Amino acid sequence: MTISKLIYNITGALMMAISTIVPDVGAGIGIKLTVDPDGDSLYYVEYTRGNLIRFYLPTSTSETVATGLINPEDVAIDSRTNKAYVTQRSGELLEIDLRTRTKRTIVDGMKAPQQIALHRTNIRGPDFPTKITRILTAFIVEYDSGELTFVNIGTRTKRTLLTGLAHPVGIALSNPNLAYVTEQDRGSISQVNMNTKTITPIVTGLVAPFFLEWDSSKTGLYVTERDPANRISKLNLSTGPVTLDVVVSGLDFRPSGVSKSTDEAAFYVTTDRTLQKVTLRSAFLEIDRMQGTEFPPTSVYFDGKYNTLQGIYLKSGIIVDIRRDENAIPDLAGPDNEYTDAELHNLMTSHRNPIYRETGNKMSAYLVVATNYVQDGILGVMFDSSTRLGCAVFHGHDLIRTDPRAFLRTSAHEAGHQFNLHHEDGTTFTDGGGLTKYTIMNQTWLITPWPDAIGFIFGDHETVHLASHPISNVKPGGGAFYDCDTEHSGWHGGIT
Amino acid sequence: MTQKKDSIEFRLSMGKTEYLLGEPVIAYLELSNSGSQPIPVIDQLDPKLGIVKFYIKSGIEETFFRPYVVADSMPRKYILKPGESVSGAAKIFYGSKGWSFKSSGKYQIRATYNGLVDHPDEELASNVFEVNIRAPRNEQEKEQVSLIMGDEQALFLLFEAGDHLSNGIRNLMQLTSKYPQSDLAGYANFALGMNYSKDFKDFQRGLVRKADAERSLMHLKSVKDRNVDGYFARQAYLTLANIYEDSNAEDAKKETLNEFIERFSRDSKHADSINRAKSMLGKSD
Repeated sequence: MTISKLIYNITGALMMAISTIVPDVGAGIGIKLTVDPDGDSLYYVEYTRGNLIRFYLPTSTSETVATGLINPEDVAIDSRTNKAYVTQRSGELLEIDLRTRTKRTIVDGMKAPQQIALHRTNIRGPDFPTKITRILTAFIVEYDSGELTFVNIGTRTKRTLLTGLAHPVGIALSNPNLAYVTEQDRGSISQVNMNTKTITPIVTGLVAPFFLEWDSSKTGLYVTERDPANRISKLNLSTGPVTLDVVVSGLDFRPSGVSKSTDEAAFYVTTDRTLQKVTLRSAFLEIDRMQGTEFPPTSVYFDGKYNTLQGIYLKSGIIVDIRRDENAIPDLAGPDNEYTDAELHNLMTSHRNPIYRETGNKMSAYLVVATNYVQDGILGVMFDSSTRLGCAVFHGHDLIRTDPRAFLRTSAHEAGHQFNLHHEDGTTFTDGGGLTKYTIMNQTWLITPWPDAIGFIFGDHETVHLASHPISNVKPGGGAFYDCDTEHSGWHGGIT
Repeated sequence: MTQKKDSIEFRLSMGKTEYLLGEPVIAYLELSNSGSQPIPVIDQLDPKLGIVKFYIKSGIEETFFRPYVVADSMPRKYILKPGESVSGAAKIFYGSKGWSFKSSGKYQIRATYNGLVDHPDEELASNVFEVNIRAPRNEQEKEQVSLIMGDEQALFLLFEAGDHLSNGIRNLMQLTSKYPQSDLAGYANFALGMNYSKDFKDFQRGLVRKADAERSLMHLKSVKDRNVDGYFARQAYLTLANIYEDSNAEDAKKETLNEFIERFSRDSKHADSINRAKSMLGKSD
């Protein structure tokens, strides 16, 4: 049975869909998606029923993998050995062989262990110090003791790495010396340095933050926030000052675990009674830059908050996975110090990285920061309107070079063209002080007074398009510029 | 506040009233201040800025022309004095939907302008200009048309450059060699000549291909003798003059510029270029 909920923004734009794919779950907590050539599966634990369940996505069927667990909190899967690892509230880390369904205890005596972060690490054995062995380890936070525990799964031993966490629940490992942990008492996500034994809250004010999940580029963290928020937020770690954006709200009561699909277009969430799927749109944004230029700013503080490309797009229903790729494309410009359309066309058709091509439901956009354009007054171009495959921003323009607000805005604007947004889709709105603000797709020259009139958001029309118009018309490479849903016709002319 | 809309005249004209299918069609625009007050305007009339928009009607269906390149801009603002005009040329033969004039027949073209600095929401409408796109008259013309009407050829004509557009270049070269006397070969020679007149920064090969004056001259000289649209002729003349100037061929330069002035001085669409040619002659005198 599937119950769907469509999430609209305040203007009525469909932002994303939430489906309940399993309507009867006994307090679902930990969840992990496994990718398999034969079809992806979700493994999740039921806290009150003591089960480990496998939900096979191609057929939407469930099977019980293990029963008799004692208040299981999380599950982690080691695909190489086909084993699951489960924490129990009673203090154990269990290993469950997914083929034979046999269980064994790896370690016990933990104080309400929660989320598990598996990690393969190199160690030198005591008997053969020159020999490096690759072993499977687990990093686990303990709610009651406030400890972060390291478990060597091979030797079935554990040791405490750090104490002093304030009722920790979720953990995501950056490297063996650095982790991110949710703390209930602080309402925080904290950075934990295991070398220096320091705990640094990097964002506070979260509502009962629970389990964590890395994004595809491992530069952002998804976190579930329980009631009354009942949402998933995303912490962006790549942006100087960290930024936090809401990905989806309106989830069922008490979401706990979240696992994303490879293309980040689907999120699977365990809640108190259900297993839910959140469907939205996602895209790579590959960014290259030429020698002598900079990448677009990761964030810009304006209107009392940090604005990012990721946040601008996420508010309109697209998760943008920014990949800074080439950082020194040779500047061939020579004495004239400028590039023509033909040269930019040549550049864009030769520097895209196939790693970031469109895959599955994940779209792919491309932006290159170049030095100067052959024509005066141009901040950026969307280059190839027949297929919308590339855009450029010109660092040589004074405004781009000297004003990060313009740089960020034009980058969002040009990428917007690639998603088939038009200048005429831009709208205005009035802020709290009565000032008219211009949304992203308005041309920069219209924004007066500069910079006060900048609106670092997509407006009603832009959001409707990005979030809900046919994906074939939205995705870069999907068709000609202005070929789109006739809904645009109500906003402006020229649509076919 | 001064009244803007009624004081500004926005006119559209075309180089020809009839084109052979596959000819790269250029629209000429003129913005004139017929009032008594100076008016701040954006004087860049390139459709990529989105300030000028074109509409092309065939039968009952009118299509919005979408340029191949779309820009976010801080365009130049210019105070248009009473009695003064600014002009521009726009390549409307190829855009996001490919060739704009895909088949023979009558087409009505119009444009709008919304670059009044103080009134960006005001839109000025041009006159409507009708052109006839004629079908090829024989098998030879058919082949000429098929040699020019490819996407890469169009991009090469649009950009007036692009070493990487090898299929397009090959077809245009074939057109110039097989039908050197045809008008379509004039356009092909124009694009080839313009391409070789300047360096090309080739990111695919990671090098700069240097300008080749000799090859450029070879192609551009033949453009003058063909019945190509005025934009292409004037660009060919001025580029030839520049090449002659760079190679200190003063006599050839003067001859080229004088020929250009004689041919085009009565055509107001090319007034700026005529002034430039006169200025170049002045320098060399």
